[in-house]
Amino acid sequence: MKKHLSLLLALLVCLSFLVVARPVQAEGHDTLTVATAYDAITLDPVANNDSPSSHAMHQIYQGLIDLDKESNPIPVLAESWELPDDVTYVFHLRKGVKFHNGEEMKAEDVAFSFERARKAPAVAHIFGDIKEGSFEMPDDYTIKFQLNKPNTGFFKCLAHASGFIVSKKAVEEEGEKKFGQNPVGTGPFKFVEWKKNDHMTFERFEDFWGDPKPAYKTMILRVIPEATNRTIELESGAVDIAYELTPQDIERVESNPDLQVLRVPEYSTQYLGLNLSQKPLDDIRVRQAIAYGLDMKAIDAAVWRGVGKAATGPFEGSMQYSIANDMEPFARDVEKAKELLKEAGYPDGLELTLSTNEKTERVDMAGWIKNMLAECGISVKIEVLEWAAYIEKLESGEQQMFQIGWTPDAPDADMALWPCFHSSAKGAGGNYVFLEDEKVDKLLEDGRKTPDGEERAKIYKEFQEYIDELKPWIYEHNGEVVIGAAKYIQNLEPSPYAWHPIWKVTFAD
Amino acid sequence: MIKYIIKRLLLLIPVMLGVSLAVFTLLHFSNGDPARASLGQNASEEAVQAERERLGLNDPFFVQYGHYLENIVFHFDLGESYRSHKPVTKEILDAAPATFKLASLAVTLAVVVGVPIGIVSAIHQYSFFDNIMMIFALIGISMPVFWLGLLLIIFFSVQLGWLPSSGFTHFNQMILPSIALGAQSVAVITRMTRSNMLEVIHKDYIRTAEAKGQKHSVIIWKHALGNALIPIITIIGIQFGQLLGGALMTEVIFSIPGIGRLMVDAIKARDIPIVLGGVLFVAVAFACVNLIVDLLYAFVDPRIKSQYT
Repeated sequence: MKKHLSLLLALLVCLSFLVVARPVQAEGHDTLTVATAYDAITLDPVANNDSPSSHAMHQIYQGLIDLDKESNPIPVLAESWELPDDVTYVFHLRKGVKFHNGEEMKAEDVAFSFERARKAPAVAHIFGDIKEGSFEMPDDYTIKFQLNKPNTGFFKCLAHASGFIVSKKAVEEEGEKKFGQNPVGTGPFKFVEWKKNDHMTFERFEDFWGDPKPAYKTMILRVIPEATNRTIELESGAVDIAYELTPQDIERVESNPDLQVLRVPEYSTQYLGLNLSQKPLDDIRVRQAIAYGLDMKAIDAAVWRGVGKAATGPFEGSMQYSIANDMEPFARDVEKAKELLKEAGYPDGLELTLSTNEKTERVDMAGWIKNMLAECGISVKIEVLEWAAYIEKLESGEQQMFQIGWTPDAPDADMALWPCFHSSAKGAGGNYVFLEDEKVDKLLEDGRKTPDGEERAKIYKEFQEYIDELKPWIYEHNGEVVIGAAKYIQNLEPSPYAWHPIWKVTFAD
Repeated sequence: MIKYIIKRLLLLIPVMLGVSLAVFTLLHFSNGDPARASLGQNASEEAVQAERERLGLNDPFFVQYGHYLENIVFHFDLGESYRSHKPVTKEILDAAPATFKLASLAVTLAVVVGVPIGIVSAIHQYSFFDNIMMIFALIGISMPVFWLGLLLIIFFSVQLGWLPSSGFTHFNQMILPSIALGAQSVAVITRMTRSNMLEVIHKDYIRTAEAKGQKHSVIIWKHALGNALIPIITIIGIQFGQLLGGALMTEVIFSIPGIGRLMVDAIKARDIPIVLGGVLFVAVAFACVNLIVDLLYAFVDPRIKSQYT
């Protein structure tokens, strides 16, 4: 009996630990499985404005235009367009484009989609300026509308996910609220299933108008928040592509002969904000002292370990009109910093609070900033807040120094700068430094209405140089998109916005 | 018996009231604007104000709480997520199966492994097997879930490549999380079984049974285990309840779409209806598990059955 019992026990213990399941294998090339870091919030283009949702929607919807790698507009659902004056837009639509529900896309769908976008609070900053009741449809394939005021950056915004064209009939049948869970677009893939926090499944849309059609049938977007797990799943072949590799994992993936790493600069800019409505940061000499006290290049290298780069301007250098690529990170000069503090009336140094949310890299940067500024006589108290509380604080204007990032919704200087610096955007609008400066406002207003060209370039150059003097921001970091993929993955074009068009992916044999 | 069950279920009402009031109060006084979270960073101030009005966030605290209760009691409605705009009930019911499966697998593992080891350890007290198992139990109790989870991933997913490290659709994805979550319970149940068995097998009636020549296996499995079982069942019930609430860490490490992750995301986004609904759900589940455990006593111990009136 004893023997039997021991045997049974030994068996049980072994069984519970040695259950060998089938080895995980790469799926056949009919399916593309991608490990994403975050789940989407909605699949309704106008219900929210967040990157994971936009990424998923880029596979199932399309806009009137798209932007190429140099941010030039390319026709998608619109074949051609005219801008008769600085507020009027006319688009000639492609004929024979089918929605996933079989209906043909027509001008009334476009008008319906833009009218929804115009009224949606989450994307009002992009589409809110369309003139009410200005939609005209001379025929089924022509749409005309106007803006309230001239806005040069608006055209590029049409490539943003909130400008995607939805099926009017589908929204009306499904209801405004439920549409986000049962979306109908014209994109290369159609929606099949969404298991929240786990995965989303899309299937190739056989009536897709574009050419070439997707090379595979099923797309699965898995949600794997832990970065290490994404890498492990990529290494084991359970996924074909893994997003957001961490600096620690990049080398591992690079050295694996079956995998590849793809990188592209992101349009985001992280910065150390100095709230001008708070003493003593209203004194330009104090702000300059802080700038002199920090070696951002060193901090960037230590914290981000080669991913992205130290920022040198208020918006990323590869964007039109940015002069960031011609600028150098500010050189550190502790003596100069001390001198400026003395001039400002703080010979014995001063105390400041640095607020940040709990994002690891930001907290790490805060530590470096604290140490560097301590050498200049500025003692920094770090305050780490959870995201919702943090944003509430930034909007209230009670913060002194703080760290946050900004990614414009379209690659246009106006989208990048207006929300962060115009006095009308103070607080909730995104101007968390509470800058209120006539020259700044004037330049931004001019830049918004001036058509693309040399004059606009001049305005934004002057703006960037002026902001550099004012120092409401100490530029920290420009991000980088880092994707790991199996070697057999081809035609994966990482987007600077992380809205990768993975429907274009093909497989090598 | 039925009367007893009804009595117990009625007792749930004050518990739910207390839990919901506590969570509602905490969330009400925490920072962060749910209307802003709902509309996104770029919404205008007017739109946010309108949303606050629509969600009833400008009402006094008790009015808000009253509305909430009213909807639950009269419409069985837990509200709608501020973020996804889906009904809270649907969100929770979508996430609950994963957590239940995980907790059930972990408890099953704990019982299947823990009870036999405990029995054998008790029969062979201070033997080599007993000592080794008690050392393992000590390690099991001391090892935090997140640490064990990572070790399992490193060993089984990275080194050996046998099992996936994330997801929860296929059975092979459930093995590592269940072991990680269940390990502590295995240890607890092993020790409880051992100590209870030890207590029982030194009792007079066991010696009597042995003296009259009863078969050893019958003594252990029928006489001894039957009596040792009640405290073991209690501990299994408590463990299951704890695993339901404590699956969060495991869910995060292994990317499992369960209640824990749903709630953490909701807390971050100030999605109050989801947080409240989630807490209430876990509380009800916990209470139900306890009730089931109490009812199980009756089947194990006839003396208790007579008390259920």
